[in-house]
Amino acid sequence: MSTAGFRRLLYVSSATGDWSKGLSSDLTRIVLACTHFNKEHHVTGILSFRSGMFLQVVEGTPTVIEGLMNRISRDSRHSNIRILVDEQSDSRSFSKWLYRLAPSSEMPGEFLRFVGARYTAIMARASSEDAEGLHLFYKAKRGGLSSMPGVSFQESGKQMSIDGTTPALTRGLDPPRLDVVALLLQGWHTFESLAEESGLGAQDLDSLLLRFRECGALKVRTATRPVEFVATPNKVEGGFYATLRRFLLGT
Amino acid sequence: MEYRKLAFIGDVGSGKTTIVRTLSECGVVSTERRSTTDIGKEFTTVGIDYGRIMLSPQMALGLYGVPGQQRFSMLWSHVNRSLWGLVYLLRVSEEADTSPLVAAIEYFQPAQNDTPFVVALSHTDAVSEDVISLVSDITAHVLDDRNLTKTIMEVDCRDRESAIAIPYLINALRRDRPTV
Repeated sequence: MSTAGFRRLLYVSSATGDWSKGLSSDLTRIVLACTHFNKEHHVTGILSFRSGMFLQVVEGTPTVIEGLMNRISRDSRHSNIRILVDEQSDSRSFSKWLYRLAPSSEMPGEFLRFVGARYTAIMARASSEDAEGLHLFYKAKRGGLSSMPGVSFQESGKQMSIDGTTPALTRGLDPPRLDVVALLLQGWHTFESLAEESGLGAQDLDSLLLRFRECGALKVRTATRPVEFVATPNKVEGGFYATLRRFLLGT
Repeated sequence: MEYRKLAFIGDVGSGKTTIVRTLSECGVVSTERRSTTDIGKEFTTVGIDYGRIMLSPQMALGLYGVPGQQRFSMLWSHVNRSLWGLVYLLRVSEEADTSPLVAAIEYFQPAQNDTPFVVALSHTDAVSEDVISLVSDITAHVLDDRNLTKTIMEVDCRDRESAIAIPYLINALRRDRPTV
């Protein structure tokens, strides 16, 4: 008999009802209730949703996971639950993720590593429907969320961008930092191009990029070609962009 | 006259009238009426709120607060021409509903029109960080599903510094785009 302390499940399921109009307030309540339950019972993992499909990874003590799956299987808001991974372990794989909803385009590194290590085994027994469900959330070559521990972004020579912002990412940012956000949202930049375009000092820029990385938002890649800036009429002194910018800065 | 339009769309009580008042330099033309049902506040917007930032005698940014409910979509057509920026105000709560956000996206089509689009989460001071994260995550799902850039930030519609961050970011996103 196994003495493993944790059971870990990965499953995909189909949402019932009309989810094409987005996620209703009903789902907000469901996920909040789920979050509370999981926090109380020390369940870690992730939930994601795309195109009418749910993907969930849950891990906790075997008794708790058994009870949780009983609850989930009785929930009429989703159906056709297919378990793709059911394993036992002495440690958690998602300890940092105290059960979070993750956008399907930005599945966390823990998830990508978790599936990557089991991909062949999952695919060996997955039906085409299972594989299709999983591939909504997992693609073998995701854009690099690579980390560079201990290395200053200034010295990295890498290019950076972000796919989006969250309240935590933008909270309290002043105008030069919002300029950096806008630049990163629009494409790939080197440290030097960000500094030049935003006017932010090297140390402040480094701290800001570190904050983005800690939020899991920063994508980093090896420079393929230099960043090019296109001169547009918007930047012209006296133009709308420059005039509004000066007004909003109060200068 | 160089004139740009910034629209704030949002459900009842999301802060449209407040943010237009906070940002506007001139007296706001408001269409608030006393609410006939209990919606948690005395007045609600029944038409378009209008304010303006005059940058020079020949240059202005018009601010439009527009109800987010689809039954007001006839008002949406009044602002949905050559939009400089679109902001969806989403009041954060445990009952936050993203269906009206989807309806607004489908109508305004910010990606197809190349309009910078921001979802601003309001009333975040009334809820826990867990609820803010959850609503932000759900919003990110909605935007992701529609291949939109996930620009989500929080705003205190009453606070000028917080409110100004929205047109500032949109202006920065507009910088390298063709003029409207």
